[in-house]
Formats: sequence, C-alpha cells, structure tokens
Amino acid sequence: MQAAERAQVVAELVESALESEPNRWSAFLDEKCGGDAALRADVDRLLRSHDQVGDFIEEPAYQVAAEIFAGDGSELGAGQLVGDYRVLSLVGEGGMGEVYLAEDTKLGRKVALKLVKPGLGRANLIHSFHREERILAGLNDPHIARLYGGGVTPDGVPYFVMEYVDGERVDAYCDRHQLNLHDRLYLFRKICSAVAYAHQHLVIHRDLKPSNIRVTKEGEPKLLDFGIAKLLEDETATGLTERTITLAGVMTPDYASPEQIRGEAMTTASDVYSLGVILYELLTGSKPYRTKSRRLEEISRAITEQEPVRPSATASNNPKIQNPKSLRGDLDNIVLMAMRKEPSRRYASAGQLSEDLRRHLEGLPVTARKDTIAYRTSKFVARNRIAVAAALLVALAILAGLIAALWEAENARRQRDVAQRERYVAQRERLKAQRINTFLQEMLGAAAPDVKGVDIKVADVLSEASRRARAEMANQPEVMAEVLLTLGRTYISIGLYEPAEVNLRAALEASLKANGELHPTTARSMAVLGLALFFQDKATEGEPLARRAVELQRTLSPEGNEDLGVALYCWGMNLIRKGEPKAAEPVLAEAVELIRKHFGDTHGYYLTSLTALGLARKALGNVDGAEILYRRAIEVGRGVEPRYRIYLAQATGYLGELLTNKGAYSEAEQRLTEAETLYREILGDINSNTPILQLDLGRVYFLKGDYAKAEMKYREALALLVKFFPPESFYVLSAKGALGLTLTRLGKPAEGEPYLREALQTRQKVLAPDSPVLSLTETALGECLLAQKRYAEAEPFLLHGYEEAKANLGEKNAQTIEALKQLHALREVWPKR
Amino acid sequence: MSVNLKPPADVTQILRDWSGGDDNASARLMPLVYEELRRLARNYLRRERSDHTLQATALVHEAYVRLVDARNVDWQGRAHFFRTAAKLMRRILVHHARAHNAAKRGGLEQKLSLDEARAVPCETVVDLVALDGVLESFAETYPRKSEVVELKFFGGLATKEISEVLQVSEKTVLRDWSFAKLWLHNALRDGS
Repeated sequence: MQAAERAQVVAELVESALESEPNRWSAFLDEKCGGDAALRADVDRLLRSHDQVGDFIEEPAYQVAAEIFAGDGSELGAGQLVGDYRVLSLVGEGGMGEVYLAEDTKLGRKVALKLVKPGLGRANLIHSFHREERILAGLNDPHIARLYGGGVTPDGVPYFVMEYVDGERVDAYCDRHQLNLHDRLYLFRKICSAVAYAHQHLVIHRDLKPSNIRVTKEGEPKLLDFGIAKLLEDETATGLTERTITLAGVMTPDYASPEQIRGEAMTTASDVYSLGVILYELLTGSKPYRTKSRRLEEISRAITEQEPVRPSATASNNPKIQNPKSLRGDLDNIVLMAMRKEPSRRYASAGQLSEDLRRHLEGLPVTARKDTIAYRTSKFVARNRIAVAAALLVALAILAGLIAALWEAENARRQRDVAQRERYVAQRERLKAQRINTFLQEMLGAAAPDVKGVDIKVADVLSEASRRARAEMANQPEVMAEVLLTLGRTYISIGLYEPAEVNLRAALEASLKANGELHPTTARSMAVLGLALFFQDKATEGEPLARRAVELQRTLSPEGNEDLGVALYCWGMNLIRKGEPKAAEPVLAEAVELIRKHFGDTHGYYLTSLTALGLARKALGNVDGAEILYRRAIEVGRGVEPRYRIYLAQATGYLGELLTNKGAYSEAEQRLTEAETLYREILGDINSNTPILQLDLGRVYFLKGDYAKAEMKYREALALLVKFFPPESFYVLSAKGALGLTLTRLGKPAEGEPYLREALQTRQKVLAPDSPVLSLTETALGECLLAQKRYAEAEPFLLHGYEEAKANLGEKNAQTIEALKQLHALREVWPKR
Repeated sequence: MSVNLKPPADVTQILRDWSGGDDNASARLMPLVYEELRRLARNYLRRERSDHTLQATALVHEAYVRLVDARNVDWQGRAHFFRTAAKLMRRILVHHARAHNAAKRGGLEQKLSLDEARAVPCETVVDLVALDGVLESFAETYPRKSEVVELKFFGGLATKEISEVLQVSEKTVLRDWSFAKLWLHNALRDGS
C-alpha cells in the first residue's frame, strides 16, 4: 500500500470504529486489519486517545483566544475624554485591565483610570460598584490609594478612578534602596496598619500582592485596589468559562490564601495570609513554596498542601541576604504564623501581625510560636479558644467602629435637617448594618465550630458586645435588632442557650419597635428565639413564637424562601419537643424542601432538617421512615462543611439509637462509636455528648448480654455525665440505674444495689408517679434484691413494678412482660404467703 | 475606535468576481474581512457573556451578514466567503497567540506590567500556535478533513454549513471531525 492510501485506510477504520461502542472495537479491528500488525498499531494508537479527547477544540477558537485577542491594542487614546477625565497616557496593563494616567478636568488633579478588561467587565459590575462605592470611597487612610469613582466608557467598558500613585512596587523599592531588615519591617508595619484600618471599615482586600503595594518617593507605602477584587469576583463567579478565564488571566496565585484557592469564604485572615507571603518575600528574596514549574495547578497545590520553608533557611541560600540568621526564631515564627493553612490559626488581624513585629523590633517576647506537630495536637483545645477569642475581639472592634459611625450619622442627622440627607444617612446605616452582620457572621461562623465546650472568655467577649449593643444602639433599634440577632445565633452555635434567649428577646423587642411585626428581622428573631427556647426545654413558649414566625414569613414571601425554611424547622423541633409529632411531620417536611431548594442539598441545614423530620417520623412510630431519613442525612453529612459536622454526629447518633431498638446491634455499635468519635473530633475529648453516646453504647452491650462491656461503658459514661449534668438529670439517673442492673446481672448485686436505690429515690422525687421509668427502676431493684436472696425486701418492688407497668403500658408491653418474669422468679423461690 | 463599515457592495462584488473566475478577488477580500473580524472579536468580548444569541453565532457569520449583501451572492460566493473568513480567523488568532506568547517570554517590554498575572501560563487553553502547526501537517495527508477543522474550529461553522461549503454529506463532516480530533490531539501530545 502507498502511504497516502494507507492513511485513508487508517482514517476509514478509525471513523468506523468510532461509530460503535468501544467494547466492540477489538473484534471489529481483528476482522478488518487481518494480519497487518502495523496498520492495527496505527489505528489503536489513535483510538487510545479517545478517552482523553473530551471537549478538545469543540469550543470555537475565537472563544478560546478571546482573552488574548482583546488585549491587543489600547482602548483609549491620549486626549480622549472619559466622563470628567481626560486621558493623558497609558501607564500599564495589569490583570484587571489597562491603566491610564488621566486628569480630572474639574479638580485639575491627576488620577489613575483603570479600565476593566473585557472578559471581566460585565454590565452588573458597575451596579455592584455603586453599591459598594460609598464604603470603598470612605476608606480614608494615608496609606490607601483613594477611590474617586467609577463609570462606563462610551464603548461600554467599566472603569474605576483612583488616586494616582507615582511609586514603585514595594519589593523593587526595598531592593533598589537596599533597605536593611529593620527598615523593611518598619515599612511593612505601615502596610499592616493600612490593612487593619480597612478591616475595621469592613473591607477585605482579597488580592494583596507586591504589585498592589507602591512606595512613593517619600518612602510611604500606598495600597491599591482595595475592595476591587471582591467586585470582580462577584461579577465573574457566574459562569465556568469566565471563572477559568479569570483564574488564568487575572489571579496571581502566589499570594492567594488556601481558602481562596479552594473557593471558600474569605475573611480578614485571608489578607493576613497574603501579608505573610509578602513579608516572606521581602525578608528572603524568594517565594515560600518550592514548585517545579510555574503552572497554576502546581502553585495552587503547594499553597493548600505544602508547608513553607522557614524564612531563615530560605534566606541562607540567597547570597544577597546579609544576615539570614537574624530571621531565626521570632521572625520565622511570625511569618509562618501569618501563613498557616487554617485561617483560625493565623493572626486574627493585620493589627496583631503588626503588633508582633513591633514587639520583635523592641526586643519583647512575641506571641507567635513554632508550629510543631506535638504542639498542634496537644494544644488543640487551648489554641482554638485563643483563636476564637481573638476573632471575637476583632468583631468587637468592628462593632465599636459601627457604633461610632452610627453616632456620627445620628449627629449629622440632627444638625442638617434636610430630607435628602436623611435618606442618605438612613441608607448608609442600613448598608452598614447589613455589612456588619455579614462580617460578624463570617467571623463568628468560622470560629464557632472550633469552640470547645463553654469557654468563659468567649462568653465574656460576647456579653460585652451584647451589653454595648444594647446600651449604645438605643437610638438605632433597627441596627440593634440585627446585631443582637447575630449575637443570639452565635450563642446558640456555641451551645449557650440562656444568653441566646436574652439577646434574641432583646432583638425581637427592638425589631418590633423599629420594623413592626411584619418584617424579616422580626420574623427571624422570633424563629431563632423559638429555637433557643426549644433547646432549654421551653417548648410551650417556643412553639407559639416559632409558629408566628412561620405565619409572618409566609406573608412576607408567599412563594417561600430560606427564612421560611428555617422558621419551619424551628417550629417543627418545638412541636416534637411538645409531644406533637403528628403536627411536626408536615412542618418539617416542608422545611426540608425549602432548605434543600434555597441552601442546596449539601448544606448543613439540609442535613439537620432531614434528621428533624426523621425524629418526627420515629415519634410517630414510622421507624423505617426515620431510618431512611437518618441515612440520607448521614449521606449529606459526608460532604458537609466542617462547621456543620456536628449535625452529622447527631444524625449518626440517632441512627445508632434507632438500630439498637431494632435489635441490629452490630451496626448500632458501629454507628454509636462513629458518633462518639465525631463528637470528640468536633468538640474535643471532654464534651457532654460523649457520655450520652457511651450510655447508648452500654445499652447495646447490655441488650446483647455482654454485661462486662456494658459495665465498662456505663462507668465511663457516669464519670463524665456528673461533670455536665445535675445529679437529678435524666442521663445521670439512667447511667446509675443501668449500671446497678448490669452489676446485678454480672453476679455483683450487692455492688449494684446502691446505684439502683439512688436512682429510684431521685426518680421518685422528680418523676410523675405513673412514669414507666419509675416502675422499671422498681423492677430492677427488686431483681437486685432477689439475686441477694433478700426475698421479703424484693417482693414489694417487684409487685409494684409489675402492677404499675401493667397499668401504664399494658400487659403486652416488653417492660411489663419482663417485670412479670422477675415476679415469677421470686415466686419460684419464695411463694406467695 | 472606528466603527466604520465598509460598504457591503465591495465585498459582495468581490465575491461575485471570484465566482466569475477572478483570481485576485481573494487578495482583495482579505483585508476587508480581516478588519471586520478583528472589530467584531473585540466587540464580542465586551458584551455580556450571557448573550446567548452571540454564543450561538460565530463571528464569521456576523461578519458575513455585515459585509455581504446575501441576495446578490450565490452559494459559491457564500462558500468562498466562509472559506476565506475561516482561514483569516485562523491567521488572526494564531498571529495574536504567537505575539502573546512572545510577550509572555519578555519580548514586548514597552508596556510596564503592573501585574505578575501574565507570568502564569494558561494551562486550560488550547495552544493555538502548536495546533496551527500540527494542522498544517494534518492537511498534507488529509486536506478535506483539515478544512473541516478550519471551518468548524476557526470559522465557527455548524456541521450543515460545512457540508454545504465542502459539498459533502453531513455524515462525512462528522466522521472527518471525529477523526481529526483524535489525530490532532495525538499529534499535540506527542509533540509536547
């Protein structure tokens, strides 16, 4: 065959093969190629890449090359007028787009005019810009480049106008002036203070990098583009293509934090991370991660997985660094603390980072510590407490800033009684209030899952925040309601229900005053207050509140929104607690649907709403229905955000309990153990859920007849339970009673007797006389005495236990049958007289 | 920025001349289409991404509609136009990709870069320069198949239109395309 002819045969065979299923290729080619091994090899080689081809060149080239193509040639010419600005010259091109030097024709000053690159420039950008404009323009710090305004060119290209900074990149500046270590740190601290200032004004930079930090001739740093990254992100997060372009064309991953790489929520700690990388480079002259290539993926992986090399070690490889040893110790620790992978373990603010550097410069001990593995595990609890407290302190500082701003606004309002001014102020307040809430929620939300038990310091900070909010926002009930609602939610998330109730009541009162009843904030406060009451066993009061919240939300949003979903959940939980599972079931079913729709089917709220619906079904006797729901909840829980893993633990525990009742002991044991481990992971070794699960596990062993293991579990449970619950609580009494009976069955009735007597005595005091638990305990004590051959003493307990069980539970009930069995056992050895 | 449209009659006339056997027609057509394509491409990028009509319509089509008075051009003229436009798109895009690659390597320093962004190569995007190279060798063995790629990938034409331009069945276009994808993908992989 000639080469050309052969090529046609190859094409023919490949094309025909592609028209059938891959599993038939082999047979097809065996037949067609016959013994021509070379032909077969050529065809196979092409077909092998079938799996990898995918979308290759399916998207038209102009779309692929769009980015490159548009970057060709500048948009604006010298002398051109854009709004009030006359273009002078093109000064540069960055990831965001072209930057021009321009002149403000009204004010005569020079400005930087930044065009937003076409791929990023969506029409909405300018709307969100106007939304944020006041806040960004309000950043008034000598080290932050002012934002003057923004708009759209006649060609429809969005642009921002900023203070023109004639300066040099910070890294280039440091090198050209050969700044020594002390001067570099001094300069860097000014940068930190500017970032801290912005954070207090609720603005996160999100894209800090040397090219955004300029140093003027006077040696003063200026930070560019504050808040711009957020605007761009908001507007480009919609489409995958756009995101890809954004990532590839705009984002400089070197300074991005791990959470940013992973697409998670960014907080002030993300800026702290970027500052850490910048400091690293300023001190060592090198990048913190060792990667083989400059590929986006590889850099991203290094940021999320690789530990940075100690700055002092990096510096010692760089002959340009004069005294690398001076970085050892404090500076190593400070830089690495700022760059930790977990946001909660970094400095909570740029201010703290700056403060540690000051302490270092003044020879004082610094707070940063070396991050060893031993330290990481042993100090887990303590460390998180510090992080949480620190995060809360930042939140408090922000709160203080807010209060000051509101006070100012109030003053302005009094002084200038102009209607428009009032509207402006009112709008600004609302905006501020919304922002503070988002900020607080992000901050506290990120901190809350790490809280170990009840931390007195956290509680202190929260109660201080609450006190100030109530005292200083009296004139601003609308804002006060929002802040108190957030605080209330935070208290719930760390398990402090009493203060949660107090704050939520105040939030509700303030919102009623400011907004009236039919208002989202009022309805939300009611719902969450209902939940706080539920947790405190006050469902009688919580249920009508949550029900009212549901009614209000239905009026506010007839088609149903996420708030309605949450309100329904709160109401349903209260209904279960009130013993009305029949009413709870449809409520929770609706909650599940709304929450799935609005939060998504991977969200923690969805998980817990499924569990709640399961509880209702179980209470209705639909055990199978409940089991399905618990299992679905667990499924969802595997992929849930860390802060919601507690809901996974709950669902797992409930499933374990359900399986125990079903007699499926081996899976029950496995699930309960899983739940116990989960709680330990999430809440630390000492938490109130551990002994409850130990109690459940003990019950599995007891029912299986493995009394030795049951004894061990019950003893462990009891030891922990008394730390968390009062002696007359249900759990403590359960543990005592169960341990007493287990010891009896193990042939140690004398040892068990005191536990049973204690359990019975206390239960007689706290329970209603017809409670089945009371008769159960009586029977158990009777069995214990019978085992000790103290028949006369045993008889009244066994008789009364049986009669009560029969009266309250019926003759066919398992407990009644067991009581009768014990009574028969007595009669055999000690006939009725 | 100039938005002047060349009078459509020019292009229409050129296409008719071409169909009538004027070999210079293609040379006269090139600059007109080139300008229009460039302008459209820039415009395209400025528009909303959610503009579905634009996503569905290739630039070449838009250029055609703008430049050609369709009533006065027969199918042959139309086929000529699409062939030319696809070739031009290929040339424009590859040219720019090459210039861009050079700039990335530090060839063009006249603009002060304010950002490190461009130092990071864009991994997700097809390397147009490399693709252009392998497409050329592909054309030596499989001229029609390579034209399918040119019309579809660079020209953005739909299968039906390609079948009209090349005067083959749609099934053939699809078979050509599936084979070309494998071949080019393989060649690019072996080359890198």
